[in-house]
Amino acid sequence: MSADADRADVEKVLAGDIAAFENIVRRWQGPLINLAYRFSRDRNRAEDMAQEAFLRAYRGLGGWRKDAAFSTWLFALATNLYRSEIRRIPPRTMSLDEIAEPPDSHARADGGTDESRDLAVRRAVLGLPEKYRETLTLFYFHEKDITQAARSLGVAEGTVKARLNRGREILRSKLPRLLDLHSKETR
Amino acid sequence: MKEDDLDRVLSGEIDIAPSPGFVRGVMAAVHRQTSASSPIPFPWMRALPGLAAGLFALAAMIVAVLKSAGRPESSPAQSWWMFALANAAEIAKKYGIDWIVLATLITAACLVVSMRLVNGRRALQ
Repeated sequence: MSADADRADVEKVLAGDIAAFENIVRRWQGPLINLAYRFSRDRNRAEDMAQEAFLRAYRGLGGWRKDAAFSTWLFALATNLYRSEIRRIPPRTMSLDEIAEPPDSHARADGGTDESRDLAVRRAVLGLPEKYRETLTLFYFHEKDITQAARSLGVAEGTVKARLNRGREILRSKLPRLLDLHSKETR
Repeated sequence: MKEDDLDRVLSGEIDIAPSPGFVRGVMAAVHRQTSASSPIPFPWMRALPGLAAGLFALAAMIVAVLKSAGRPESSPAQSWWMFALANAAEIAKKYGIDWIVLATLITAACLVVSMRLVNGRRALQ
């Protein structure tokens, strides 16, 4: 089981067996890179951010209190790093108004694919104010698990719920055309 | 748009796969970090006598100020605090405290600049 394997590998690393850290990296590389990608929307940058997260995890392994799952600790550490990294160098984004009114909206309606519309909606999340963007990103990354999202963000579950509602409201109000179109076509 | 549609778009994202050399890159960075020399710790044992002497000097100055403020011989209109401040300034002048303060500030500025330079270089690596 992953939790037991994590615990065993951490103990080995703390005892001086650096090679055991490779097991941790192999186990968590996918989730950490994907979380970074959702923050940055840039594959290369996501890998750089994930690498830095692993390095920090390695340096701070001794600080993991074993009362919480290793994954919870790792995601909280990575989330903190990604948030500050994105604050330092924000990803290239379009404003919500630009996304809401695409210059060639008829062409999109006739020829646009579901994929391109979905991509536009996901990019719109990056245009949200920071607290809503982070909450939506974490919530959907953790497969709509509010508790996990709250732990990663280090806030109360109620705060996550409130921010989710507000974030969705903003998206709905800014992207009515795009989302209506999607809604009609999927019916 | 229904709530479900937004949910479907945002939760239906396909995961990206890590590049093949990712694990190797991380482990190389970990080994680099482990083999790098650890930062020189602050020499507390050596600094302790200096810190103690500094604290002693500060305490002596405070006692001297309080003693002289305790016997106000100038105008009674002056408040106790004004008197204490004037005495502190006099003592500071006598012992050249202004130069000591200036030297301390320059040292602190040098320390801050060098620490920032080191941290900046670390972040770039």
